[in-house]
Order: sequence, then structure tokens, then C-alpha cells
Amino acid sequence: MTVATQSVNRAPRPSGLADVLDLVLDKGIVIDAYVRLALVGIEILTLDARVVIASVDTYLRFAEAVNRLDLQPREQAAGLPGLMNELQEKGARSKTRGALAGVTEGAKEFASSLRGDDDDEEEDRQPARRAPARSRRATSTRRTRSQAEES
Amino acid sequence: MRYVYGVVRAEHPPAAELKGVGSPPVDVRLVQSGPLAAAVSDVDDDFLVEENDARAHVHVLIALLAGGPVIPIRLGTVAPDDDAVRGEVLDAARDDLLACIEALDGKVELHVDVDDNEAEAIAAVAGPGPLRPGEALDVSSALELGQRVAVLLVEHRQQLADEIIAKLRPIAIRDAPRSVIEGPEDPVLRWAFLISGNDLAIFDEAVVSLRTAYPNLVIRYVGPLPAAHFVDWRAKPEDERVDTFQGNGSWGW
Repeated sequence: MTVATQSVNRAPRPSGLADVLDLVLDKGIVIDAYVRLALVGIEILTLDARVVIASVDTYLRFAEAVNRLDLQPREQAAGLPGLMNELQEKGARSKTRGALAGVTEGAKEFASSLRGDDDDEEEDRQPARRAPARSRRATSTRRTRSQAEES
Repeated sequence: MRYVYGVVRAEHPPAAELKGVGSPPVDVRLVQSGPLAAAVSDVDDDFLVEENDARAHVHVLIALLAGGPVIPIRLGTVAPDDDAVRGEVLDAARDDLLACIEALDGKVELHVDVDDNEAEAIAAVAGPGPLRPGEALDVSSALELGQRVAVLLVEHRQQLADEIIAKLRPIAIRDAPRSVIEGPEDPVLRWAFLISGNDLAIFDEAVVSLRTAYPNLVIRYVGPLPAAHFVDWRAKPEDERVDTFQGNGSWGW
């Protein structure tokens, strides 16, 4: 994601479909039984169907982002005290834990896919930071489903 | 059939040249009964809502808001004819609708959405990584590193969100989250504020100040909108509901 030129203006209306539905589907009042929802054919973003635990590629992307910050002198490292040394020591023996417990299979698959394009990965790590290949938006895991609410 | 957008006061100025849902869209008009009116437009009997109709519905509500308080009605609500709109929407729920519309009078909803630049945010919270040129982390270590970065990132965004809400909340009458935000892929903020229409300029200034104070954040600001997140509507339990059309397909479930 790039930081857009910021406008002081207010947008007059929501632009995304999710924000539109947020106003008139989730929140619009229901008149007793008289809601005949003619919604067949509209793809509805289910705002509650979320995945709190990020996907494996998100974590790998974060790790990659950290490793692109090599322009700074190492002495100025801050924010992850001790982590780097710890990881270096643990090396290949470290195991995924906690929130990642359920995704180890995915991790293995991802590992395989990474081995498949090692060369690209090495190039990516070269001198400095680059824009992330993907925006967070693109990997957002909000699911969509089509919903027919009519009898 | 009549597509129903929302409820306004009977004396609400009629919307001139306001197009509604359907293809091609036709003019929106007001159907009055007693102190209330419903904004409706004609649709075919086999009308089904599509994405453009959802946008049209919101557009109609926003246009009506300029003339006074508007209660949004749920997307896709249709009635057989004008009499049904009067008798079974406006008259049947008159007291609740009147209380609702009084509560919304003079107030508007504003949305503030805040996003960061992921790479910049990670740089701010995590500092440089462990690798020297030519080195590589194994996948397990990378995942663990990424997971720790995620925790810091979420904390960082939560702190920003708290700071931003603290600046805006004093201007608002009420405020509410518009989506649950707790994971590392979530944005910084998705929030709704209910304000007095008279305070709009003050809120504008506060948002401009925030943009200046947080140049690395993208702050989107939308409104004024109908107060959809602040309508206190008491839905009747299922067994108290009545389907006057007895399931003949004109409406009902």
C-alpha cells in the first residue's frame, strides 16, 4: 500500500461495497415481518466471518519485512530486544507454537513453495527495502459468500 | 411493487430528481401517513437487489439527509403498494419510528477509517532484522519472527487507534466500532461517530489535525451519513411478527 496524497476533504459517501452494506444491510431497520429481501444475486460480504489468526504467508511477509531493514546500523536495533540473537542461536531447531499450531501443514507447504523459488527470495533480500510485493489488502482473509435470504 | 429506502417526517422536503434502485432507475418519492413519510420508488415484481442497488439505496438516504433526519430501512425491503407502506410500515410502527426520528434529529454519522503502511509500521515497531547479506532464516524461525512482529504490530495499531479515538470522541455524542479489529491483517481503525450537525466543522478540523499529526497514516473520512449505527431500534421477537399476506408470495419470508 502506498501512502496516498491526503485530502482534507470529507468523502460524501462510502466507496467500498462492504461499507455500503454496513449502512443499509447490517444496520438498516427491519419493519417486523415485512422484509422481503430481494437479495438473490448479490454477493454479500459477511463482515463477521473473519480470520483473526493471520495466514502463514502474512507471518513470512512480516519476517521478510523486518529483514529488509538492514540499512540501519545493527546497534540501533530496537523493538525486538533479544529476539534476533535468540533466533540465531535456535536456528533450525525452533518450532512454531501458539497461534501457529494449526497451520503447520500450511507452513510445510509454504516451505516447499519457498524452496521452489529460492533464487528470487535471495534477490529480494538484497540491498535495501522495497515495497512489499503484496499489500495487506490483497491477502486479507475476509471471506465472501453468496447468500440467498429468500424462502 | 414499492422499494422502501427509509422513513422521514411527513413534512420532509421531497427529493427532486432523485433516482432510486432498479434498471433503469426511476424517481424516488415520499408516501405520507400521519406525521411520517417513507421514501419509496417503483420496482418490477421480480426485482432483485444487486450491487448498484445497494449503492443507490445509500445514495438516496444521503440525499434525503440534507432535508432532515432519516431512518434507514434494511436493504431489499419491498411492499406491494403505497397503501401497504402506509398501513403496515408507517402506521404499524408509528410510535417507535417517531421516537427514533426524534432521537436522530440534527445528528449525523461520520466514518473515520485509518490504515498504515505495513512496511513502515513494521520498521517502526520491529527495527532491523537478524540477517546479513547472503544469510537466510529457515521457515520455522521466519514464522516465529513474523508472529512476534505481528504482536508488536497489533499493539502499535491499537495504540494509534486509541490516540485517534481520544481526539475525536470529545466532539461526538456517541461512537461505535464498525468492525472487529484485532488481528495482524486488520486496519488501524474503522469507526463511526454520531455528532451534532452543528459540530461538523469542528470535527473536520480535528480530522485535519490528525492527518497533520500522523502523516504516515491514511485517514479516510466519510460523511455526513444517515445515523445507521446509532438507530436504537427494538426488533420484535419472531412470534410477534405478522405476515399480513399469509405467505402468498407478495411479501413476507
